[in-house]
Amino acid sequence: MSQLTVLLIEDNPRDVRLTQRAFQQADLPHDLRVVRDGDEALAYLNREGEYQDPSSSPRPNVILLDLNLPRMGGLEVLCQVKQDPRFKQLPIIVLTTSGRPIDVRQAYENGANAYLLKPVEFARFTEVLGQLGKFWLETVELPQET
Amino acid sequence: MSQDHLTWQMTTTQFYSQLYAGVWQHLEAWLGSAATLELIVLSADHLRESYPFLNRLVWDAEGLETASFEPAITDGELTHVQAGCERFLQELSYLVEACIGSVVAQRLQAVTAQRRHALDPTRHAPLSPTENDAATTLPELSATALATVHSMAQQAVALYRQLQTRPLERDRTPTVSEVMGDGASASSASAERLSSTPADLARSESFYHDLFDLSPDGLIVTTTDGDILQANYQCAEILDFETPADMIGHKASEFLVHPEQRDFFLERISQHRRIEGVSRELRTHLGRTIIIIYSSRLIDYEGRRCLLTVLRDVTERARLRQEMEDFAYSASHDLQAPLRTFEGYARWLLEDYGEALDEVGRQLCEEIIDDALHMKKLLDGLLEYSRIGRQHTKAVAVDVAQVLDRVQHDLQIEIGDSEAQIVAPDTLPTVYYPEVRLTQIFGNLLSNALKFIEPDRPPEIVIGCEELSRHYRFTVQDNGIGIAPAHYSRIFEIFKRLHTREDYPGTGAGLTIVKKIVESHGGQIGVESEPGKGSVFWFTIPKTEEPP
Repeated sequence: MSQLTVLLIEDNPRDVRLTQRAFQQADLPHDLRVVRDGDEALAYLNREGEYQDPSSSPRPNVILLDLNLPRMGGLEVLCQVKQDPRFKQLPIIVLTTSGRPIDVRQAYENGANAYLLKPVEFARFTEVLGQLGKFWLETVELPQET
Repeated sequence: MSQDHLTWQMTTTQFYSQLYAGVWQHLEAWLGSAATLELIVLSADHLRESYPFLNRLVWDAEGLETASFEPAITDGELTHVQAGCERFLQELSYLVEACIGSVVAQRLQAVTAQRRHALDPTRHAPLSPTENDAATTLPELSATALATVHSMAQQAVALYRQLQTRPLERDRTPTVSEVMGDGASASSASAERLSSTPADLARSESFYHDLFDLSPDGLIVTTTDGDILQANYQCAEILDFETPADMIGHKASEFLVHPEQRDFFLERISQHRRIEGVSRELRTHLGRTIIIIYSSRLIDYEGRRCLLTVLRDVTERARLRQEMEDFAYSASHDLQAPLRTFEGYARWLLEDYGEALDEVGRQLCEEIIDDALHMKKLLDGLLEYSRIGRQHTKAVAVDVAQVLDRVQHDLQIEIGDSEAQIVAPDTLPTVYYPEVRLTQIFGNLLSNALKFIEPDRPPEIVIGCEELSRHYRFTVQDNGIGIAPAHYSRIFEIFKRLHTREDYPGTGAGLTIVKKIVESHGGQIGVESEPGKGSVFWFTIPKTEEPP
């Protein structure tokens, strides 16, 4: 895998902007795709509507999921994606501000691959995303796309 | 007539020595000579200040030695011989009532009156036939029963002597009147029963009955197998029953949402005979899930070993607690999101547009970053504060020395930078406490001791531990800037600070959190200080043999 394709599910545009910048600074070959809520995320994965073209909507290697989303909550998105045999193997990393024990537990119980707290400090945020990217891009073996 | 005349001629001493002989005869028959002698000696002793001659009368196992009467009286006492002799009879009667009971005391009075009349009919009226019967009719007792009664009377008097040294408990003087009344059957009465009259028992029974009914908590008595024997209305209400009677036939364990918890219960009860303050989820017979806390104790109930359990419905409290926790988390989540933007964007400005800004512009960006990070710490402090006491952290056996080692390891940079000396006792106890909380306490106190220091005076910190009867008292003493007594309480209030953040960084939440931890675990905290010289922070931890 030469490039990490990331699907970021995040509704806060400022967080999106900071995440994009953090990925840029993390010195990592990446392709960051952004959707703003659960419906858009499912449409993207199912290649529906504006996401029909595989070349402009590539299948992600990793999903970054915020828990606090409008309408369909992050946990529900997690459940739906993980229950779908086509996407079961997709690593989903919860990226959120809530360290609430029940949120952490429920995320793992529903198949989250990791649970990360967004640091307030931008330098630390860049560091975390850099580590995360390197881990999924370079350290682990992922199933080949068929 | 001649007899009357004769009695008229009797001297006071003759009259009382004969009256006393009659009293002795009866008392001795009822209570045995040992107890009777004791009662007489006690009576005389009580009156030794007012009527010393009573103490000089000679009594033995046969009764009063009549010949000792006249010589016992000194010239000065001649005028109050009669008064003294009457007081003696009153005192004896009082003591008999106090030790043995009112039945025997009344008989004694009847016998005395009967005897007075026989000795001096002109001055003392005869008894009515019923009174006469009461005085003369004695229950027929076998020799064994009589021996038992005598021995119990003796014990009763001995007990009275003991209790006399504790005047407040004088009302609890034992009686054996039931023994006299019921004959042999009552001689098996337990010593405990001896200490209360039937009226006392009835009073205490109705007292406990009221207590049972009035309790705002559920009370329930079960067999050790869990069969419900008795419950109060509050308990019925908690478990959705109409009346306590509806609960009979149910087993306590059938309400457990997690039935396997019964094993824990039985194990604890058999080891410790009691359980205190345990929280459980129950399902009522209507299927409603509730949360209770309960305490149980092994008791004697109508001759069997049973369990008395007190339970309180805390469902609402648990719900509010959960709501509070949810609120604290979401507040902290939502309040943190903008901080990330402040910090991230300000840094972005500095990195990409720093050259377009002048020195002031760059300084302002730095300050935005600084405050955003400070606000993050304030939120963390607030969140932490709201979690203590609500979030259940399990108490375990913690070696205080190990906690201190780890805290010092965590603070090694501050210790190194300030060239601090930290001294701890060679031996420190093991306490039952949530480990993370104890680490927080020492972490906060030590980091304060390392932070609030005079320039050019390396910190010297002494940790102490004192074993009190029910607590351990730990101290953290420093040689820092100290605190004026007027500010002792302020430093424990949340976000209250005595110095600017520029002089001494921090949020002002640390000591508030420490205080809440200490107090929510049954301890106390305080400070003594001399400004400019140093401070001693102290806190206590309850001593427990096992996890609470």
